[in-house]
Amino acid sequence: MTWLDSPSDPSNPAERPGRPGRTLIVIEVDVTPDTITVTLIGELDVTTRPMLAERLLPILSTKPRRLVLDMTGTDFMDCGSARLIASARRWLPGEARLVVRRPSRAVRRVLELTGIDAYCEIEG
Amino acid sequence: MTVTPRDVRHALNELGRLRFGEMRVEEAMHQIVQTTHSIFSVDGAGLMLADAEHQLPNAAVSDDRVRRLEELQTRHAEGPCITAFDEKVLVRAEDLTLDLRWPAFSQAAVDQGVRAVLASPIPYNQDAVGVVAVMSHEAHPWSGEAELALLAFTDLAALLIASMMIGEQQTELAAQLQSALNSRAIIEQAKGVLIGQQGISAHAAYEQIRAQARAERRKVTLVAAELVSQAVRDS
Repeated sequence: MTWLDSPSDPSNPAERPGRPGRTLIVIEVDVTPDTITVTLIGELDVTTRPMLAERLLPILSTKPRRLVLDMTGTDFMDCGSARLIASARRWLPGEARLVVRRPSRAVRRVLELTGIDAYCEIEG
Repeated sequence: MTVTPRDVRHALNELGRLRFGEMRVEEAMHQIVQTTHSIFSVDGAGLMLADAEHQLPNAAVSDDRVRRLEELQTRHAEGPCITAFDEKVLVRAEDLTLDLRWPAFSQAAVDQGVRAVLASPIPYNQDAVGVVAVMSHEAHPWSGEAELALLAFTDLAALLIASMMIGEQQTELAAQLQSALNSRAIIEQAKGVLIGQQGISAHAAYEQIRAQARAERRKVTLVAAELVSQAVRDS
């Protein structure tokens, strides 16, 4: 997937994952036998999207039956990140469910305008 | 030493070939550790899984130095893997010679030639069930990309564990993890009791339980169970 080849820039705060105060996004993963929940806290834009892509790739490779993206704490999402979510849907098995949980009005609007809400279930 | 996105993608592709469920889970974990080791070109990588006593025995290690690292942390009851596990956060110890968080462990680790440790908790059902860790003899060995790669490998370990827990594999490891999850629940309840009684932080509550267990030479889970049943009687 091409977005994994994005050039590295150590001065970019988005390239310092998990460091409070220096990151634009914190991605937390939780696994249970029937659901994988990916919690996205912060902003999804062109600088943080590769981090989401890299976390999603191994998860998708295991073909989960239900993938939940918890966007309660997602303040902003650009169209490219919405497309990434749509492509995640295509990687999942046909019968699998992709759920976007509690998107803000702004995030929900991006999902609707890009037509990506058709690929996922919006919850809450 | 740098980890490039290409390296990570290649490694993930390799690991993607692990047939979840078809392979013995111990073998799969060993594979994750080997891949982590080779991609980081670190001095060692290890995967530890919780047991019923809230300890972190090794499930898979790339070499003996990691085994010793785990022994050091168990002996001193402190260290980056224990913190990562207890607090469910990624822990960076970028230079143990300057690290004041685990004085006894750091000194012993430096004496054995370990200068840096990166420890990532394995998430399972809103809890941590283990840790994936890498170590280096150099200070500040890792980039942000390397951290991201370690997080991705940790996620894979969690997925593997989930597939094991739903599978029919009634292995010793599955039983160990189930009892770890059960004991974690009782420890959480006991922490809640102490927080309610004394208004202290979750971390302080856990330290208090652990200190009591050490002082009385009893198991952490027994001390926790007693606190909970005492609170039920008193209410």
